[in-house]
Amino acid sequence: MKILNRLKKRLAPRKKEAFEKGKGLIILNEVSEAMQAEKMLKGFGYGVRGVAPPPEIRKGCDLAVEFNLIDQLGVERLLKRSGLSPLDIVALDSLSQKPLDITKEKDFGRYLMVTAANMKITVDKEKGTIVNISGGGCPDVPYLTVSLVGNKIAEVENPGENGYSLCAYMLEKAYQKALSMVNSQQMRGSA
Amino acid sequence: MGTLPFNEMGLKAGKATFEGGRLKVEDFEVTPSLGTSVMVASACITCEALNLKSPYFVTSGDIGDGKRSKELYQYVAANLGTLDVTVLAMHYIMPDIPGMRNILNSLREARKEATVIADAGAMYAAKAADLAQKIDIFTPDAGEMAYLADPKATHPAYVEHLLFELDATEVVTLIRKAYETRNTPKILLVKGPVDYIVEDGEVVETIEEPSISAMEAIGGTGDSLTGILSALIHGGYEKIDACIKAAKINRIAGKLAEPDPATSILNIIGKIPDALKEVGLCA
Repeated sequence: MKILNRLKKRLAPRKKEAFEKGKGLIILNEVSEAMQAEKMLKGFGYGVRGVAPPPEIRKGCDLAVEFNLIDQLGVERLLKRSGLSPLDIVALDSLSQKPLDITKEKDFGRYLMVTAANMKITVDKEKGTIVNISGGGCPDVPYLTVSLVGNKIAEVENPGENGYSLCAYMLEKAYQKALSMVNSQQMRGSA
Repeated sequence: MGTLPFNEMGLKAGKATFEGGRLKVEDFEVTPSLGTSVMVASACITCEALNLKSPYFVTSGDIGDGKRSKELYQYVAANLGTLDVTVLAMHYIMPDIPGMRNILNSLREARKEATVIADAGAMYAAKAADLAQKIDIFTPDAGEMAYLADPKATHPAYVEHLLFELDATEVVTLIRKAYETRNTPKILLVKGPVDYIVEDGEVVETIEEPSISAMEAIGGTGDSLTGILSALIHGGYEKIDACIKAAKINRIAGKLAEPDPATSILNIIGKIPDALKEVGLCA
């Protein structure tokens, strides 16, 4: 009886929440690419596994790589370095969801603050330096802050190059917007 | 508890002190900047000014790959039973649903009557794990409030555009939506141009003075708020009262620092003792 119960438990459908919450899917062109990505990411210590993509997002191969969404930036960087170009990266909780791609700007006169989701970056428009970074909750945000604040926005390494998390992903978006606004302002100033 | 941005730093646990602008725990010291270091330094400053026992700080070095965050979750879950905890403030850490679940289970099993505060990554993890209601207080800003209001989002980066685009003056709409979807604890301290103190989905107090717009841009002003709040609750203040007082103290410290958007958070937390005096909590 005990064995039967254990077997039933094992064969019972697994709770959706436990497996899909906070997970994303990397969709690649071919099965071989998906296998390569899975092996490579596992080698770097990421919790990933090969899964069949849901029919509605099947775009190429029948194997996708499931990963923790929070690791998206680090995962994307490793894929790029390995020469793998995903067809898409989607959130499993809601297949149509993508990271926010809009920013908000606030002008403090000499200073400009750009917000992307939970991340804010503030720059001195005259000097072109990053003066503050605010928000976030993942550990790479304090790490990136140390290397970015006090330096010229046009000369620092993009946060996306050194970050790992979705917070760093959003910081990169805020950084790019601030960089383009500072550049266009300085171009206007020198014209 | 929370991570510090140092790649090689292993787990540290011990009494935290803040002296000469440096936060110290065990053999490690750091100048506070955005994140857990500001939260703990602010708690240390507040405790010292109020003659309270210093905070116990559990930390590990993590630059974003999440490896030492996992160790931190495990250590705290395994050791909560032996620690004398009045307030557990959880902060910058890689959001990890099983890790958060383990800590909260461990707290329940140890029958600790601690007040649990979650901010930053710990708040993201608690919401993503559907465990917001097991926490006592969240301290979100408007962007994080949009995350709490979006039942599908597992991180603020995945918030629906419409919610993100809501103006800061519409925070109450987000509070209501988050409460309806059971993604809030009993108490929220929503920080921003106006601070909202919320209990059971109802705004019970708003604090908007002194109004220092530059504080929004300064990294760490939310962290200092969480640190002050933790210390006040540790000092025996009732939770809602502590939220109101913490919001006022943080704003006054900001005002006293006369900041602009380039000001360092260190200048603001240095004014916490004067702010405590201004609200009459110490002589």
